[in-house]
Amino acid sequence: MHEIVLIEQESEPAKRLIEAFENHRFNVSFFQDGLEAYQYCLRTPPRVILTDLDVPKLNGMQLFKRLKENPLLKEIPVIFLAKELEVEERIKSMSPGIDDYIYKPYIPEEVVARVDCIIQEVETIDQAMHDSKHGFAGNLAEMNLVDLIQTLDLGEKSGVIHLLHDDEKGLVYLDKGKVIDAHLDSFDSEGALTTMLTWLDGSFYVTLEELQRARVLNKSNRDILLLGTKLIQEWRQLAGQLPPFDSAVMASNGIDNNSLTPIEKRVLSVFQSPVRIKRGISLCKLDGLTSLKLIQKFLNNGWLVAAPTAGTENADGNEMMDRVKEIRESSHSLHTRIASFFKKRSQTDFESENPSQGDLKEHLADEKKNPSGRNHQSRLAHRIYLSRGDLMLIRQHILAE
Amino acid sequence: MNYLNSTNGTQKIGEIIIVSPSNDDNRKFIQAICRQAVSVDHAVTYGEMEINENLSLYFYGIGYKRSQYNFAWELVAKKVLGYVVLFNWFDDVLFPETKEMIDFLALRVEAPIIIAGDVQDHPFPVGQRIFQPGITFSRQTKFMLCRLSERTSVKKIVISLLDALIDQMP
Repeated sequence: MHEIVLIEQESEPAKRLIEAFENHRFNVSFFQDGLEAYQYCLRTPPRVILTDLDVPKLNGMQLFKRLKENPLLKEIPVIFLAKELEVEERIKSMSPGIDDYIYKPYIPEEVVARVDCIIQEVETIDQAMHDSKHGFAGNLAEMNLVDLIQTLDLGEKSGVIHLLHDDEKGLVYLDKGKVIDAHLDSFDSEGALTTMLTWLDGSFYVTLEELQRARVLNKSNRDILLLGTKLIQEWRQLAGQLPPFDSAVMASNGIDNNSLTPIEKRVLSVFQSPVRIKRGISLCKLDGLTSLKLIQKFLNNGWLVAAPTAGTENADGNEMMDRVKEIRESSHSLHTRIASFFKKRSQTDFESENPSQGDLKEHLADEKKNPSGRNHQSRLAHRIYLSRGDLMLIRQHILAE
Repeated sequence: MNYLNSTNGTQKIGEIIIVSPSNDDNRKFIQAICRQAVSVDHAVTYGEMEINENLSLYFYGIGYKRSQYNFAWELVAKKVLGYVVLFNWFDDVLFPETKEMIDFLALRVEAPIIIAGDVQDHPFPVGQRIFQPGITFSRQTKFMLCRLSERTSVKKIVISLLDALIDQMP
């Protein structure tokens, strides 16, 4: 049961809000002045604080400031209850730290829903931070399973690699750096490992722990890594020959089913209605490379054809929301993704790492060949011609608009 | 059109460049902040905000493609207040292009850059608690999530850019 502190001058709306919270199994401590509420929080830190802006002794802003200055209380989410004009004038120009604000008059059920949402977000973040302290997390595009096994092998670590790829979740178990087992729905251990070795997008997290698990896979890490490298190469080659994976395809009419093998029938059945290639590979429930090879064959034979986009959106109506859910659930990989923007790279590194990036590479190469008298290795100097006063004026204008 | 941010006694102009793979997104951004966006040609979108009779803020939206780099790039780059690099948060296909653009800017310009991931009408992927202040990677660059359809959200991006500039000034 979560503890909420509510600070509100008006008793009537507060009563209705308290009732709504208690119906949703929150425990509410109610105060009508900010100072008493703050002293209570020092003794019993709550999960969330909801405060009116205008309360006596310690108003909402003063309370907020005190909370943020206290190391024990600064992480508690704070939500302001405020009249709309107050929000426009005061809250929006404040420095960051406020988790949310709710206009008065409010609907109690909506407030409860917002508080619930914030608690869930905080718990997701806390979990991600906890996981990252006892392991690490990231994005498969940055670090695939081959890289992960290599890393854990070097360190002779024991633990579990959790992989998330579209809506599939897989596990790889390592004991002192050696792969001992793998799990993925619909596959045996070896099939699971082979499939996951070709997952080049999605997210992962690794939990480091001693395992009490029997060894099921007997391949050496060396063989697994060699296999993985080969599979990835094949995958990339095949993928390069296919349309983009977010293209939608569907089975054409008039295919003679008698000429198909059971596996071919199974794969074609996935594409009876328009499906994006990427999603189709997951739905085939075969190792990724086999699915990809069959899709290529079907496209070449004309058994799979491009599907109209509109139909695809209807058929994959939940795909976007599943993706949103995946993103919500893998918040710890988000930082890796964002951090990938900011890997330091020199101009030389950029050109050598991106030989296929025609336009940009050409542009930079052209500049080197045909310098216009400037030093192209140096950055373009930046001078701010407007004064600080001008910038503040612009800022104020935008806020006020 | 006066590209110079100069104090010539008549009109002071600040310029912000919006870069994204989609001219449509540039237009949405500029329209959200300026109320009106004008396509100068197929590659450039323009919007203007009058602060007072002596001070205006111009927005230029340009696309990623090389042909659009030829837009007086080096001239504008020296005098522009900063850049907003827009991208669709859910579009993995264009993600590498966005990264390329950011790398290009980070190498070549010293002005502040705000990288804005548009979550469209979807819920924010991680709590706003993390992204409300944005994530600052360096003095020059900051990452934020936004919704192009919400004026408040777009305003936050521009405010963050201005804050990054103000912080640099004595």
